[in-house]
Formats: sequence, C-alpha cells, structure tokens
Amino acid sequence: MADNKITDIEMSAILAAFAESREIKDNLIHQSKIFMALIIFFNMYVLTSLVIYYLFGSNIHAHLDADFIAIFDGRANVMFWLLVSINIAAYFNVGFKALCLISLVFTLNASIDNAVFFSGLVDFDDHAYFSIFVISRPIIFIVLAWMALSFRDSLEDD
Amino acid sequence: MIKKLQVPKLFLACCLICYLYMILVIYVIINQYFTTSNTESPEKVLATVELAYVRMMMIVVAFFGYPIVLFSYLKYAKHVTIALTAWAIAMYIDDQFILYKILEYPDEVSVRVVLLLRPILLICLIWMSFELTYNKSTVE
Repeated sequence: MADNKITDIEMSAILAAFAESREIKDNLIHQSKIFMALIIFFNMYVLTSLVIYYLFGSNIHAHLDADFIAIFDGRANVMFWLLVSINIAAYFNVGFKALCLISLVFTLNASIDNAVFFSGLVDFDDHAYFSIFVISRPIIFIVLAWMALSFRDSLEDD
Repeated sequence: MIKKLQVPKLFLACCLICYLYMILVIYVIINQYFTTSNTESPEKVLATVELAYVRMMMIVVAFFGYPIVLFSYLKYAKHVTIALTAWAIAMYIDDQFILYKILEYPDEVSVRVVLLLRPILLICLIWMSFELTYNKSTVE
C-alpha cells in the first residue's frame, strides 16, 4: 500500500493555498472588543428599526399621502442594503471605512430631509415607537463614526 | 498658492467645475420665483423649496469650508472630499429613486439646466476623491 503521509513541502503548499482565506477570517476575529460591540449594536439597531417599521408602519401610513410613504419605504430599503454592504465589507476588509462614511452621510442627509418633509405632517408624540428611533438617531451617527475609527484596517490607510 | 498645493491639474479642473456648478445652483435658487398658484399640489412645491434652501445652506458651507481644508489641512482633504461626494451621490439617489414623487421643480430653463448638469458634478467629485486617494503625488 502506498505511503499517504504528507511531506513538509506538500503541507506548506496547502497552507499557502488557503493563506488568503485565513487572512480574511483573522481580520474579523482580531478586531477590538469595542468594534465588535459597535457592529453588533449597529446590526441590532437597524434590524429592530426595520422590523418595527414593517410591523407598525401602517399606523403612520394612515396619516400620510401615498407619495410621502414612498420616502419611508425607500429609506428602509437603502438602509437594509447599507447594512448588508457594511457587514460584507467588514468581513472581506474591502472599503469598510468608506462604506461607514457613506452610511453616515446618508443617515445625516435622510435626517435633514425627514425634518424638512415631516416636521408639520407627522406628530411623533402619537407614535412612540417611531419617536424612539428619531430621538436615538444621534447615537447611530456616533456608532457609525466610532466603528470607522476603531476598525483595524491593515491594508488601507497606511 | 496653488503651485504650493501640489495637486494634479485635472484635480484643479474638476474643482473649478464643481465651484462653477455650485455658483450656478446658488444663483438659480436665490433668483427662482417659486409659486404654488399654478400647481395641483402646493405642499410638494413648498417641500421642494424648503429642501432647496436647506441644501443651499450646506452648499454655502462646503463652498467656503473646502478651500480652507484643502490649503491648510491637505491630510484631511481626502476624507472631506469623500464625504462631500457621498453626500452628493446620496442626494442624487434620494432624488431619483425616493423623493421623485415628492419633489416638484419649477418648469424653468435654468432649473432644467441645473438638473441636467448634476451628473457632471458627481463625476468631478468622484474624480477628485480618486485623485486624493490613489494619486501618489497627492497621497504623499
């Protein structure tokens, strides 16, 4: 029967072949605890707000013109895809900081737009669940900025 | 002063186009007479006007703030340029895909020209971001 033991040369060849994928996994594991806490909080925040929007959104829709509802729906969709992109970027270490910056700018822009459009149309006192997200909006700005600053990016920004 | 800056000529050309566009936008917003009398949905026109003025204030801040960053803190100019580009793209995507039912622009030639030239502003901003990120002379 043939000797199936792997030699050192073969072993190093196998390790070299998988080096890139190990690097990707290391990148996510070797982030600081603060970063991990921030990204988990960001995921929870966005997912919770999306769930609440889809569950209770019809209440707020009743007070609004159909065209204005499109704004809420559009922003919910964009935020979902930004969340997906941020998670992928963090895992593969590609353009994470740029995506955080884009998300931060998008949420700031969305907040300003909402303040302009809905200041006189929606009374958030009647919709406590929405008020929570409106009041907590500055927290998400801080989380996004902090996430970008605390991300250990060995390939970029050297 | 510009020679001391050590940025490529193409960057400066893009910057100049952005400034010309911003001047055009400010001029059009200030001189545009918005009226709600000949429209079916005055609240949409009012929302558009309010949004235009809010955005104009931000454009004015960028207009005067960007040269200060570029000439005094070139190190941070990259981040500021990327942030401004992201903001311009976010507004463009917002207007095209989310706010298109709400916004009702006046049917004037000047407004149409501003909207038509908008992609050129985006291209210039994207080019400036890439220059500051990947061009060796500016990165160093």
